[in-house]
Amino acid sequence: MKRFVALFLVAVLALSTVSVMAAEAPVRGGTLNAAVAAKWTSLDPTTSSARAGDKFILNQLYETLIVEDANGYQPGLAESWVAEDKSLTLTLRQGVKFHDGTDFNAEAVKFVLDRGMTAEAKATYKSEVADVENVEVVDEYTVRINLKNPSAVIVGALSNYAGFMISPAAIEKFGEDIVRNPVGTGPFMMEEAVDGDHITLVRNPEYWKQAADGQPLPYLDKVVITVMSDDASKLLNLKSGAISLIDNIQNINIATLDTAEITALKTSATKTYKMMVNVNDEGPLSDPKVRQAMAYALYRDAFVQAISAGYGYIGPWNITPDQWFYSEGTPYTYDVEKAKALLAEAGYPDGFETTFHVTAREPDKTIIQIIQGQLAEVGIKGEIVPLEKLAFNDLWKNGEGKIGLNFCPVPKPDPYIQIEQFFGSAGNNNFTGYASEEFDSLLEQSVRTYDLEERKALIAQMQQVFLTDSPEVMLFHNPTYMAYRNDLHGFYTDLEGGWILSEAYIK
Amino acid sequence: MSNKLLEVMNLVTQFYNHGQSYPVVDHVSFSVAEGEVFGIVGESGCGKSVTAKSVMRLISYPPAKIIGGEVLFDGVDLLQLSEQQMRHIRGNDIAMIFQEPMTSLNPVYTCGNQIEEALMLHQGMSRAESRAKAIEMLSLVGIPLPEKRVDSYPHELSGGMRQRVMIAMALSCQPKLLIADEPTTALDPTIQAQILELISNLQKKRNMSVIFITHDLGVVAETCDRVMVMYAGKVVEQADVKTLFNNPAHPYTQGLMRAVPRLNAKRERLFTIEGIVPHLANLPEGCAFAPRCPQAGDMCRQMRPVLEEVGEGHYVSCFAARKGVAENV
Amino acid sequence: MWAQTIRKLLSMIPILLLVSIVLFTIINLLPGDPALAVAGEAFRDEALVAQIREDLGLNKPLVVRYFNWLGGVLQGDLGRSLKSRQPVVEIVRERLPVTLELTFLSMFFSTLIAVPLGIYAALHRNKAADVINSIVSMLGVAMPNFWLAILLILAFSVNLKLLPSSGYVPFFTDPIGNLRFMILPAFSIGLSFAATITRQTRSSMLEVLGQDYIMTARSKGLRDRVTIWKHALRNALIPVVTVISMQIGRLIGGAVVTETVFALPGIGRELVDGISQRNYDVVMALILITAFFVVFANTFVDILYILIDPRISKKND
Repeated sequence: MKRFVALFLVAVLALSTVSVMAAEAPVRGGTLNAAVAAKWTSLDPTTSSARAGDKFILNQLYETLIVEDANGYQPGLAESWVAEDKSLTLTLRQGVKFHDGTDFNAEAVKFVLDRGMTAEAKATYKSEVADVENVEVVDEYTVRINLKNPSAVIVGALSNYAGFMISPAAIEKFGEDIVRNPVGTGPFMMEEAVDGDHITLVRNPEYWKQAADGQPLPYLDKVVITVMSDDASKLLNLKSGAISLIDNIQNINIATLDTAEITALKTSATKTYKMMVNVNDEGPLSDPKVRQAMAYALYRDAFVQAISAGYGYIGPWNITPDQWFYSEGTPYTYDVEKAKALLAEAGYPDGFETTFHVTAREPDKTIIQIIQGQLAEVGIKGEIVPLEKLAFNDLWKNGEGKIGLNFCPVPKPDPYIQIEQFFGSAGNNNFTGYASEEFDSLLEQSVRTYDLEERKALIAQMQQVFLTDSPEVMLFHNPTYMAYRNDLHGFYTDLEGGWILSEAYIK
Repeated sequence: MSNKLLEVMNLVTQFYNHGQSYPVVDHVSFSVAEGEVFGIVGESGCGKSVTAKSVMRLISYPPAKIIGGEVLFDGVDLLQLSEQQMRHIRGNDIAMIFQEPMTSLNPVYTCGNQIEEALMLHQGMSRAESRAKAIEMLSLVGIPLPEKRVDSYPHELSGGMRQRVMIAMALSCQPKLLIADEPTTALDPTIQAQILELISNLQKKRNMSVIFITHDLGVVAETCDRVMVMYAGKVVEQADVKTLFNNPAHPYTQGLMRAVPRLNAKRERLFTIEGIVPHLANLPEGCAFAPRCPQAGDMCRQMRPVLEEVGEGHYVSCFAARKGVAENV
Repeated sequence: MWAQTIRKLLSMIPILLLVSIVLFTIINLLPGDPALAVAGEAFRDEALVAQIREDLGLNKPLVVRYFNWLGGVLQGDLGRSLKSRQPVVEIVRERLPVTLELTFLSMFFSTLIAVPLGIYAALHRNKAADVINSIVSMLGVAMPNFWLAILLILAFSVNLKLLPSSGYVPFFTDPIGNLRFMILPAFSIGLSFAATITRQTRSSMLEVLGQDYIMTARSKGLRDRVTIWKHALRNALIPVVTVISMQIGRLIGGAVVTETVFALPGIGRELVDGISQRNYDVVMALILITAFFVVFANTFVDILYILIDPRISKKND
């Protein structure tokens, strides 16, 4: 009995970190008007290139095989699965249909997964499924994924973009226009969209999930998501009532909300801001001692106060404390003397000249100015060069960056995804050129075992290596706050901050 | 002697500029009889144009205001009339033509339209009637093909033609008094002669009074009956044409006469009156002309002379002249 | 006059052609590879990027790509958006009417207010009306568009709850609704537009009032009202028409900020996004369309001149 109560309490506690709203009797019907900051890059999950941003919309249209929440992996379109050394066997949910009426089954899963692995599909999650040998249809509702090597990331991948299920019939019908004609199994279907402006989603009457009253979810009739790139007007629209839900509210504005009408919600989504250093630079930047010195020279509290108005916090790496693979480590402390000593050791007692590259947006520009000021204290001086996003990316890809600012959007469904893309030598978002054999080796090992304790230990080791090499200096974690009007209930977000609206209602 | 159509007495028009104020028309008095051509002569800036505009009450503040005197037209003091009454007189009883025919006509309306305006306003004519009359006026001022020209725009006509249109416009309502403010200054000499002749003919035909403002003494000699010479906003001499040319009493007038080049004179340097006209805000004490006057005496520099009769119908504002005449007499 | 007009309109073609060549060259000179923009977060995947580049035909030489594009245009195919693969023709069809309406409304209302205001200010120099006019002009010119827009939303949508803060519905679907959505955006652009026009009107009017022919008109005994409205105004409006025509180009292509703040699906936003993503086809089409409208508007104004100012002869060229 006690254990039952304990488990019960744990479950409740765990669930509360995924911010479930207390539900009274839900009301059916109504339209939810929501606003997001950025245009969606694609309505086909395979080619989405802004994975955190697109999820607001994709979550409504599509579903993944596996779902991850704070407790771990839960059934999604796959009811259960068995993970073996070199294979993953999934038992699929039955009776689910795509929006176009076709059946969701093992054939469909194979079709979608195979497609995602081809070059033509240009899938942005390719590295996550790199270890897949082939996909087998065992029977109508059973699929086996055979792996070349043990790959702990596969479950995480299937809970993210690689696992979104698209209707094969639609893919064949629309060809490349599938990017504008989404057909999934999700609670909503697309009614119409003006690219880059708004998308109107309508209720999927055949949705497989049931509500408490025995009728299918969702409760809402319609969801209209509008792109509002101007922060100020987006917030004003929320305040005026034209919009009921926004994807982000700047920390400084939280205090201005009238809590009788609007609620600010802390989501698990976080941006870990970091200072990147080009490790292959010909000058002082390639010396790890110099990079360590810079890490000691930064006073991180300044960022927490100035940028996140106190809502942020400092951590050793890009892993947040509520993630299961988090380990303490020692974040660099603010120690100017030590910084100067290290610089002297490296041969730069008086500092050196360099350049600061930043994307021309806020808060990046403000952060880099603070950095510039702080590094000047130890003699590291340089000009700030703001660049437009594409040019910024280009610069770093060509190895011409010096010191730059960026952030890691976390969390990701699997530690391998969260670490590899930024810090692995072949990582998609590895801007600094960091390539450490030791690090890569540990990274490889961490994905080859399914043992969580082992993985955690390896990750802790990687953290240590990383902190010593210091190709990037972690600045602070900035949690993402969203805001919604109080007549919206049943709304919650997934780990990455994507909206779950299947149980939302307006009352 | 015919009736005095216009009698101006001690007209003062004050100019206000940057905190300073000074008269540009300083106690000017003259009269124009019916059918008489009265000339006003003087250098640029002497106040002759402003005098004319003051008679028409076309002075607006800022920057200028009529602050004193009387302007009797047909016995009525124009300075006491309401603006509405004054409008009735402008273009109707008193008309004015200006120096620059290029810019004095509105470029966006036809010549006919601009003539018809006054007719419809003052004579109450209909569109058709006024158009017919306009064509008649154009013909009267010697414009060929008037029925075509009535629909022409000012820019389609030459300078001389435009001035004829101005004259047609001014005379369309049969005014008793025409004020011509340097009407030929901007024209070629040959055209000048034509326009002068035109004005002269029309004046005689209608027995119209004309105030002829000019700085050209030759024009004065040809067209005017009586003349007034102005300097620095004041009247310095007034006489009939013959007397003025034969017997100029004021040193300034004498200087002007000598400055006119003669064809039969031997080639020699042109005569100039030494010095320049002072700024009206900085007039010297005493006679305004004294600093430049060869005959200036102490009294001239201390006291201002007033207009006095030195012969029949001959008035001069000068201490030396008075003395000279007194001596001559 | 019609022959002249048609000739003017036809002369737009070589202009647009030249613009397209210059434009194409400039866009391709910009640093930044569109294939990277399409790849987004996966930009490090060399194979992926190469694949994208191949698919989009970005490997071909510049001249070839230009003529491919031109050939497409002549057949009515304006290309496709790089990422979304939406035909540009559709994009234009969806978004152009919004921007055109916004431009037209803001021009219309601001002219309606600015011209009389400028005239009134000129006639009552240095009095209260003139001072107000000056303040309005300065504010309109100095105030940043987006700030004004946000202030308007704050005042009318959030506080007074009179007008909607965002959204759009096409005019022919719901005229009243459409106008309600467009008032604030039109006003926020319109103010700076009005400021320029009212200043020009005022100074133009003052200049005209000092002209000789105004003195002539008064000397004919015309009433002041006639002098002003008949004689002065038509002359004063000529430079104002010039100023208005110069502003049209700015308005059509430059409503970006307003469209962003009010979330209007116009071409301004699409153009800016397109440039930053090197979305060639979209950018080419939208800029050329803007150029077309600018030239078209100027031609229209030229014709207007002929009607207003007889000095500009119909037979002249």
